Amino acid sequence: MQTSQAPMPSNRNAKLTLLFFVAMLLFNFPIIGIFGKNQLVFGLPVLYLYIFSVWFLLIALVYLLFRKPRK
Amino acid sequence: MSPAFIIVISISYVGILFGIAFFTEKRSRTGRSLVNNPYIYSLSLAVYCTAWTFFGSVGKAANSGIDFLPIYLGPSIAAILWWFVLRKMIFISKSQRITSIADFISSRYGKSIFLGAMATVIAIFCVIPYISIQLKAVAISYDILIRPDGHAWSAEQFKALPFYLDSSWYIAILLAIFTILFGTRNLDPNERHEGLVAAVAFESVLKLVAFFTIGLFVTYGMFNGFGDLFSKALEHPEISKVFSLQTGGIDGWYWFWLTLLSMFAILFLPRQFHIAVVENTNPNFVKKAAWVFPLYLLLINLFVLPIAVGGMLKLGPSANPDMFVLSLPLSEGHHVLAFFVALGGFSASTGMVIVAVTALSIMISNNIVMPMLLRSATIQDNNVSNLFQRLLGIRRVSVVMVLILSYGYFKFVSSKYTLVSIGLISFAGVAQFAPVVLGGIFGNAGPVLVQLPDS
Repeated sequence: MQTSQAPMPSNRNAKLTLLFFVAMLLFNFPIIGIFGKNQLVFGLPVLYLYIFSVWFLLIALVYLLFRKPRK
Repeated sequence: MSPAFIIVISISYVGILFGIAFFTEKRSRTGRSLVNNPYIYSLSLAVYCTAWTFFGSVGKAANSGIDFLPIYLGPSIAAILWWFVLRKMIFISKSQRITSIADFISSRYGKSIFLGAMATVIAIFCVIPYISIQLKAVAISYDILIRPDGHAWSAEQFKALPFYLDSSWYIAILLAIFTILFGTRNLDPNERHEGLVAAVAFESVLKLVAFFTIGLFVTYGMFNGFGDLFSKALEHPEISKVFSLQTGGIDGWYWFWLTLLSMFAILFLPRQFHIAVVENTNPNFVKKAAWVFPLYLLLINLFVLPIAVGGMLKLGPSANPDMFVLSLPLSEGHHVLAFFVALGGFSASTGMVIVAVTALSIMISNNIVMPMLLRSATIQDNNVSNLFQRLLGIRRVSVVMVLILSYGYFKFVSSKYTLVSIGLISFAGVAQFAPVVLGGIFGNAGPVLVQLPDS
């Protein structure tokens, strides 16, 4: 195994699990139903803007959780 | 475009893939493996994106709006938990020399030969429809490129064609040859094929670049950016209805189940299991894959809606939305661009077919034919190298059989339906593995409980 030991691995596991449930919530009804309107925001359909920005945010959070701790 | 030109370029493209595979295997023999890298691993996982993604998503978006997305949101959400689930699957598989999803199921329940054979049969039935849509996509895209009017043949025309005049028959044969060359060249006790993984990772890059190129072309070449494209669509209520949720009769449960099915598919489809678990060289790669792979999915979906809307605005309701990525550049006279995009679609299809059929051939030989052979008396007096040759022979025959069956499925079933609706059959099928596999990982049914090291 590699030597990248995170300071508190169980803490990260809890955060990952929480993130999973938050993601399930944000990407399902009723929340996405709120954005299902025929409108443009910044020139983009509001539903797509919502989904892609939340998606990107989730990826960034997972990246941060797995980032190697600074020495 | 002339058929000869298209065929020559496509064959040379496959030649490049072989070059990559040979180079990779040469490197790994000298101990400097290219595949031993978390980014290559994440890219090879993108074998998930097939012709379904490349052509079908645009078609789905044009017909019913946003419900092309749960198929990609599901795996992205599931990837958050890969650190527990996938890593444990890798640990179990490496410690018990598991070589396929059927093997995994059988060995978690007491090495049951019957269970392994059952899982193999289910896997074959699930994957054949999925392979058939790859044949369909390649055949139609070839057809569009060689026809000056840019219209593909209808289902009836395809069905009426005798097989020796049908381009998809030759595509099926060609894909069988590729698979035999990539996946059954030699026998590795761990069933790892580094050359195959490197070629698949390369194909993932190519299909993303090709899709991005056509996306940028439509958004900025045919329209003046996203704002222009979408505001033009708003003027047509029949087009802008894809922005909302009411279009395809999307309801909460349909959406939820689609997400859930794809969460299972990303690890339990035989080809995904093969790439994610069997070909994995280091369980810690999951750390990178958990965000690189979802990022790949996000990027390849970014331009699906713009292309779908652009196609509906420019080509009207009569055009086949599954082929917008090709017919849009062709309508503006950009033949080279259309051909490059078709090559991206070709790589999406070939990657899927080669890995899926290789994984199936491993299952058929290890979980059905070998147990039968080992019981029969004929093999017991043969020596081991003879057995290896026989095993490779069995694999090659099963590759050809699976592709012939897929061609038949294409001819009689798939030609009538859209790409996505056929692909969903496979997703629903492999989801049947989920309770068994998850029980095998986290329950205490298996003979060995594996404790993950904390890192």
